[in-house]
Amino acid sequence: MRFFNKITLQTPESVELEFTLAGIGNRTQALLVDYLFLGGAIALVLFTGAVLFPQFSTATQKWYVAISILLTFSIFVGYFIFFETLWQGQTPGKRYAKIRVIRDDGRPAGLSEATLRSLLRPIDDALSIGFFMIFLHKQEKRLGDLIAGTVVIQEERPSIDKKLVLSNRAESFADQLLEISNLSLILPDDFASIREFLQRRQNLEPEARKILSRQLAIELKSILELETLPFKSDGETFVETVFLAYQQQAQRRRSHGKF
Amino acid sequence: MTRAPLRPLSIGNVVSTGLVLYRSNLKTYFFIALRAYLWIVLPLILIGVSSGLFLVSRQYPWLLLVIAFVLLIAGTAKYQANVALISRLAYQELIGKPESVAQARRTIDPKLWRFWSVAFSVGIRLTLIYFVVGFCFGLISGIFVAILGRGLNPALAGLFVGAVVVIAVLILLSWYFARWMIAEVPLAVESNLTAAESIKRSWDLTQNSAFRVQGVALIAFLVTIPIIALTNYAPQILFARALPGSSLFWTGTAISFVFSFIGSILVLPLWQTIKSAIYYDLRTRREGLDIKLRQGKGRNDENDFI
Repeated sequence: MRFFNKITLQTPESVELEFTLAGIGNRTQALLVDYLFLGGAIALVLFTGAVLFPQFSTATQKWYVAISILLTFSIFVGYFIFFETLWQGQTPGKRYAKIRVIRDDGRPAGLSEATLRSLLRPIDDALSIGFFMIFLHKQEKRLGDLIAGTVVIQEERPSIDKKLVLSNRAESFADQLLEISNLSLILPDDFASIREFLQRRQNLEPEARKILSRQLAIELKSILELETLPFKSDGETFVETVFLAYQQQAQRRRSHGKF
Repeated sequence: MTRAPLRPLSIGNVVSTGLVLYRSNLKTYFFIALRAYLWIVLPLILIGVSSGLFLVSRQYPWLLLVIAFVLLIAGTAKYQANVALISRLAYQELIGKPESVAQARRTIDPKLWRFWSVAFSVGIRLTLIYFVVGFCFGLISGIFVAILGRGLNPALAGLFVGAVVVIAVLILLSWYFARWMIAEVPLAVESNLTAAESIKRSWDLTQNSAFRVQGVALIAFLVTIPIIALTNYAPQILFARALPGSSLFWTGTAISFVFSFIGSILVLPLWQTIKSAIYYDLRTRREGLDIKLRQGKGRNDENDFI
């Protein structure tokens, strides 16, 4: 089962880009934040009006009612147009939920897309039409998205690796490991899992961290076809060692021009 | 396992994952939820019938009432077990080891009374907390109104303090709710847990994540609004103009009742799939559940590592 819908877009330069669609959860979260802001702004306008209202003459009061309706509507529509244009498809809510509106061809959404989406929003919100459309449509498009030719996607996690802090012992063990084992027995997928562990280990519960690192170490030892270890190490240090050795071997290969 | 395991999810993605799980198993989960509700509704109808009998004959139908209450307690247990069944099915899909309904039922059914016990103890705790919190805040707000009321307009002071208190109580209660929200999920998916252990597991796992779970619950609630609006309010609006007592009115009431019943059944699996997603997500975050090697053989050599 695929948990997140993906779309592959072809840019005008025929480059294929893959995006993960935003999903209802993130879009609801974004909408909640935006509506809190909007509600606050509109409440402020109405409150100020209510305070000033008695001081107006009867004729001005009629004008005031008309103006405040217009103002409320323009805040509601303008908020989304303003932010989605200025922030290239993001509003404060979307930024918080880490999602973004883009055009069907992958280019950033502009003024016309933002306007169409925003003007159709009241229809999408009324009777939850938008919700059911997102739920049923393959590319999770509400009415506004269909007409504006846009999709809402998740912003990719920044791929900058956090610098991993590894123990000194692992560095010296890595040299020894490189001499006695063939690190290419480890699949790239498994190397990714090791890195994932090293990146997230501080957030794990101490007990779970110990069990998991030991399990990984035992499995790695068997993958590397090692009968005995040339050094005495705990599970976590061994995982670090394998990580370092794998990296070093990959580097050596690259510098020897084998790949 | 063919697909890559899910990494830790954002709040919105937990809800989306629950929805995707539900959508891919819509029929299966719907009928399990229907079964769960019938276990509660049928004993209630029996109680209704016995009250009707009392009105007609002016005699308590004791036997019927006793049977109905016993059935109601058993029905609650059955309800909990069926609800937990949905969570188990959803969780097995999340870890990439889907089960058939029959398979899952075989592991769920023997734990029937443990599910009842989980629901009962969590229910008792939440009720107690509700009363304690309500009492404390009632006391505090009384004092504040008395103090503020002197300087300010008393009505305005009452309104202000009341609003603050309601929000504070909501936040506090939802915090406890979040800590026990997934109390039955560990029991449903792990083997050899007692009811108390399952509740404790929910408490431990959510220790630093109560805010996240509150967020998930809030978004999940917002997502259910369109469904509830469609099934609960649409029929009521349609028949709103019928005269009370007319046949149209009773037809409308009956239709509204049936629709809101369907609405409740529709929403129930969504909460269960989302609970599974929360449990899975918390375990990936705190226990690295998703970190596995593809080639892992899982041989367990002792003494290799310190």
